Amino acid sequence: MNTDKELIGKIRKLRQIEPSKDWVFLTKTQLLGEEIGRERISINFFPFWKMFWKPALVTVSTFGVLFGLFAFSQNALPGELLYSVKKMAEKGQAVFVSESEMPKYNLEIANKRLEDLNEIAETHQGQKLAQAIEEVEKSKAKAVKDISKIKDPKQAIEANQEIVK
Amino acid sequence: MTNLQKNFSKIYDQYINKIYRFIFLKVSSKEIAQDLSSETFLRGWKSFKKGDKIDNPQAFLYRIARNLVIDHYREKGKTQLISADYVNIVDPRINSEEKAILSSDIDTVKIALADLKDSYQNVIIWHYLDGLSTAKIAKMTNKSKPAIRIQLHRALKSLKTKLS
Repeated sequence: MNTDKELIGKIRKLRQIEPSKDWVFLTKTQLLGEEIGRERISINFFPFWKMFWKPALVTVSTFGVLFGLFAFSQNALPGELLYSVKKMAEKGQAVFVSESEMPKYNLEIANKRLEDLNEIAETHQGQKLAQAIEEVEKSKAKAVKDISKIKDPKQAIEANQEIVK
Repeated sequence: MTNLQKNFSKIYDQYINKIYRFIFLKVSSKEIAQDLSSETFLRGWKSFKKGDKIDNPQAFLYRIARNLVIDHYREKGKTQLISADYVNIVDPRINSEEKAILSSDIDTVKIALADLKDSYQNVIIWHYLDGLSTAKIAKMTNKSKPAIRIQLHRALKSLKTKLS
């Protein structure tokens, strides 16, 4: 039988649960890095090039790293480190999608998740299968939820046909 | 970096581990915890950018995280399953015998904690893991300090019963 003190000691051991440092860094870059990039590109730096060459260099490097990261993450599959970057990028893109286009966008995402699942199945990566299936279900549920919001019956039928495919 | 970004960057650094752990203890999956944690901070950042009045960032982030966990389980009518993700949470520097004992302790408490009702899990995590005082928890949950103390007492008792 645990005393309260022993029990509290055991609970405190759960403090060892921490996210991976790589993920923490990547998520922060995704969240705030893009903002830095967007802000800096709007600076009219040409006449002040000499004055701003350092920030410009940092900006270009940041863009380079981010672009490389995005490009590399596009092939990431569920269960891989860069997969969360890929998902964050998709969420970022969704911000610029209009409400009327959102069902279509979510359908595309659901199709991508299916492609991920197919690739995992074809390449026999069993350990990634559970998360891939979960991702398919999640994206499908999101797409279905969005379709139910479509007011135009013709558009709704088209979207439903896409899902059936 | 703008002041807004700097401020949010500090908030991110200060709470990312806590929010991740809070979510992980509820969903028992590294991938889902990562997903929901990044969504928590994305929503937090959007509100922050919009200029929403956020008096207590910690309470604000926990509220988002709690709602996301609720949505996660509601969406698919999931039950809380225990995954194999616990195997990596023990400090790799300690020897294998110590690791085995520690790992079994952590697993046992983790599983029992996940089996408690949500409000009990929350007070235990906030008080014993995040080190929040009962006064802060009371403020965060809009409850009185005595109510939190009672809840904490009941939560511990319930956890002890699960472990015995």
